[in-house]
Amino acid sequence: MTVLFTVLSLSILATVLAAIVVLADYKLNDYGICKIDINNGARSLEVNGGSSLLSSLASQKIFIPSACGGKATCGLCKVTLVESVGPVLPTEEPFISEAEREAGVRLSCQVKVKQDLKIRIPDEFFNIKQYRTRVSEIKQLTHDIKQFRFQLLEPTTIDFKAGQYVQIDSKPYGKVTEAVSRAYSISSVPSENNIIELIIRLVPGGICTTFLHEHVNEGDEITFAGPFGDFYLHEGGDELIFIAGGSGLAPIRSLVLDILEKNLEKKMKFFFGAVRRRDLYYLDFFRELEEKYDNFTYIPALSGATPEDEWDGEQGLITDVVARHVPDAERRQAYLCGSPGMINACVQVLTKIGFSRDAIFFDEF
Amino acid sequence: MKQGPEFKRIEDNMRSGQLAAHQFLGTDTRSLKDIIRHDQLVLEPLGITNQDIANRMRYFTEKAAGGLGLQVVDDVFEVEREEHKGDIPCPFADNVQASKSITRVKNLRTGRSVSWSDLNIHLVDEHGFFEGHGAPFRVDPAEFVEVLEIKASK
Repeated sequence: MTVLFTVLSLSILATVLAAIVVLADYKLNDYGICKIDINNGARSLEVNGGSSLLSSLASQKIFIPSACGGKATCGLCKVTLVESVGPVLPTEEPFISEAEREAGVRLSCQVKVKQDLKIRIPDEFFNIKQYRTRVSEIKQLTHDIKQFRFQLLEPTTIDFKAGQYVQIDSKPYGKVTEAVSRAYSISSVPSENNIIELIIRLVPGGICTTFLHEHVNEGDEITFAGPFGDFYLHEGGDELIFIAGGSGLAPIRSLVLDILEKNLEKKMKFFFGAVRRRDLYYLDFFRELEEKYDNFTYIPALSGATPEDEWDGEQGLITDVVARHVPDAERRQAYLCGSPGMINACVQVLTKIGFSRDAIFFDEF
Repeated sequence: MKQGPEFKRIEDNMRSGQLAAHQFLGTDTRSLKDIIRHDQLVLEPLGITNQDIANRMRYFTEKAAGGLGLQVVDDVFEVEREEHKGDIPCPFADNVQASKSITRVKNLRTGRSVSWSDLNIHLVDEHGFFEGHGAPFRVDPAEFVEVLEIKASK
């Protein structure tokens, strides 16, 4: 009887304590309405406190670039806090330089809105919108790369520069209970402003690429925010050296088509590196462009061709192929898109050829 | 084996889809602590530690990262790296993030291959965690010892 009484007493006590903890958490974490002043009064928002600054801004249609969806793994969602709200967190440290720390730069995904804030962001962020779309076509390009075409529903048109990217929102599926957003470069041309096309490689275990590759069908509705990024055509450069691998072909395709469409007086050389023949796609498309336009040269190269590939084109690492075809940096710019390893190796080769760092462009994600 | 609330929280995180589309524990129904312990029991009689395995994985990863395609290492191993943008956080919530890139190694003597992500190296090294049975990035310790020809460090 005593044992039963003790167990009952302890159970009641535990329940009361748990209720107090829940109530305290509810009360203490209720930050109420917080004001966010952006760019010294350019915009003023009121949000419910308690969420990240990144998601609070997104809830008010202010979209900050973020390739990882708020997990502090991409470092893109930087904003400047005019008044400090606390020290930089360990999760932010890899992405914040000493100068940025002193200037008040923080990753907006790691700042929780608990009080009124004053922040600064680039003015162009005000032009970023959220789009509702319908998937109008899905094409398998290689064993692990698909092309998605999205018809814009609301708004019905988009104004972007060739080379920019958007952030696609996934939806929960399987055991993935949270939506995430991830950045993908646009492969279509800006003049086709009622659609966008994306070329997406399946990342094993990737939440968003698995969603797109395995759970999205033609006819489905998908949202994205954009456009983002400064990987677009910059002033200068009579000859443009494009280097890509894998799904990095996407923004290069947009840039090449845009330049040809606008009849810009620029020569272009497009190097596309792959391991085997099965990794190449859009081969005929770019070969046809090469035949049609004197100012465009297409140089696909395989680094691991086997006899069954029956490949008579360029062979070797893409860096070696570039070194063979680009004699110097005179009046040239280079635009790179691919894996971090490919970009690092290409920057080294281009630097050796004589390219200055400000004549080499690539997205930092 | 019993595990504390902290391990239970990490295990729940691993079984959810919070960090990756795949689950770190796969179809394994054992507790996280049991999975780690059982893999240690496989290694102990071989005189090989989880750090020995991680060091070997790191060795091949660095070799593969140096090139942009297939490479033969030490005349025996064909290595290749599949690079992916972005990082994935460690499920043990220790503020470590690793690239999503994958390294593949084929032992040319036996024709057997293994592959791993950069995060696996950290998980094996720091947490002795080889992932659960049925997980797509499971690092089977016995298989890795054979394919990568890992010898005891002491």
